[in-house]
Amino acid sequence: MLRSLISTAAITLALSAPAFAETFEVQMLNRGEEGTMVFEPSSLRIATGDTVKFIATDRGHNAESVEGMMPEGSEAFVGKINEEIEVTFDVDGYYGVKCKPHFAMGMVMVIAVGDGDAPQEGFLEGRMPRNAKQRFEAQLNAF
Amino acid sequence: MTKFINPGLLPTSRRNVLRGSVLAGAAAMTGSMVTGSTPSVPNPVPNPNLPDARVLRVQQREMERAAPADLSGLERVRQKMVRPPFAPEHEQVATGDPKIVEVEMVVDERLMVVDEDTGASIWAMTYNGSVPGPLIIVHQDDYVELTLKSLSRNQLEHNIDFHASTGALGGGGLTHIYPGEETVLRWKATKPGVFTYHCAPGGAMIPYHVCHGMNGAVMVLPRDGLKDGDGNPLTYDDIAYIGEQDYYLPRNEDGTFKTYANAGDDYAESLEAMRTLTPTHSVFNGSVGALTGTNALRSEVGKTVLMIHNQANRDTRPHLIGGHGNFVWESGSFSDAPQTGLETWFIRGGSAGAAMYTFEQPGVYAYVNHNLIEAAILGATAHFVVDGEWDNDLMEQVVAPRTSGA
Ligand SMILES: [Cu+2]
Ligand SMILES: [Cu+2]
Repeated sequence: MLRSLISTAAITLALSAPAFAETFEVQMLNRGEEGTMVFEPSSLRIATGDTVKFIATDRGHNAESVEGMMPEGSEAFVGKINEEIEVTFDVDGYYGVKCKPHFAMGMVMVIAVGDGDAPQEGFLEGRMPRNAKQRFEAQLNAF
Repeated sequence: MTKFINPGLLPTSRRNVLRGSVLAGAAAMTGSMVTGSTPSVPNPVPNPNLPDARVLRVQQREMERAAPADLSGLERVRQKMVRPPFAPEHEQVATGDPKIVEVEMVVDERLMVVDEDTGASIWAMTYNGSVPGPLIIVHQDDYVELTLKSLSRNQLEHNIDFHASTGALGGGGLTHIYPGEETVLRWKATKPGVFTYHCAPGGAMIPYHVCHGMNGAVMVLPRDGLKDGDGNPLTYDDIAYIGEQDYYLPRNEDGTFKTYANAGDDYAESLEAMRTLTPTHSVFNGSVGALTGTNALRSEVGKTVLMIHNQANRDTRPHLIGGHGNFVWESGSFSDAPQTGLETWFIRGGSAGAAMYTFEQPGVYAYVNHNLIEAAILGATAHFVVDGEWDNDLMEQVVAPRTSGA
């Protein structure tokens, strides 16, 4: 990710990014259209360099990346419970996101960065709770 | 460049766009991609500072490298778990060599009534459907081989940390299971005593699960049984297994207790209630009155009971009203000589202790947490109903209450 960029490149990005990067908001909810304990929206496609802000509309949730469900070269992120983190996605690919305490209840979402029309190899292969897998599958189908 | 926004998505303001991008740029300077804030939300919960995945992979590698344990010639026995306050069938003095003791526990999230009078209830997280979980009894140098299963209808992730075991966060690091999964863990009982076990899924989920009933006790007896301070054998006729549970139930504005449709739904509000450190209930064996009235424990004059008291979270001070602790291992360690003749003993939160008493009088004994507010108002009371003959030498009502004229 950006760790590899030297500071001049970072400054360039800071100056040029406002021209096209966008911030998307995802709500963390106790109840939504997909049922209880959800991210809304749960399938989100963004462009390279866009930011996602996780909104603690309901309390008791967090947003963090799922190990094994991120593209090569991207960095893991972990929000605290009730914390509204903003994550900028600079590496194209598919990202699985979970709420740690409600992972087993299926509180997950997929963020697709860039134009890739399929998740990277093995995206759904890792061990995960059944409810999470079902929702991931539905979320991938929604793209 | 594709931009796809789901219908339910909040409109993104230009201000947000700018802020997000500028933050991203600033973050890039420090190498961090994530910025956090909790503007409208009280009480963010810290993340546990656990070592990162690399450290865990090192442990994994060492486990794969390790020589296999030599279990040849060890007899396997299966211990049938029973519901508290009862103890599984066991020998007080071990016969033969150390064994592998197989036990099975099924994680069961179930709605339980905490107090019938107020309608207080909780989606309890249980091992085998009871609060506390079942008592496991082995001897020193035995191996406990636990099969831990989680019902498919459960909602949450669980695991188990045995204070009696050695390594991998008490087994907690090796036993995380999701609904519909199972795992098997074997550990050697090297230290004699009574020990807590509990669920510990990580971070704030640890107290959340423990304060939803997910704890219990293991008793590791010395191979030659219990002893007094002079090395004389001590035996018991019965075990009373008592798990004290502090609950922190969220309330509605009118003071009544909230109800929830599912296990896990009360997470945020439970965290707020737990933060007060003030339990709404402190009960024995899961609910108010679980061991009183018609549910009282029973014994007889001349019989010896070993009272095992487990409290996985919070300090407590058991007292047997009308009796004593003749021999008390209040820290739980059978490596130490028991204290004798105690009135009240102390069980540290996160431990189990044991007290032995031989009943000398018939009647009702109350076994309480002698913070009497907790005993009488929060629920921490049990009863023993004891049959037998009265001893006037120990106590006699010389004059029944009458008008004194004073
Ligand atoms: Cu959540
Ligand atoms: Cu648990």
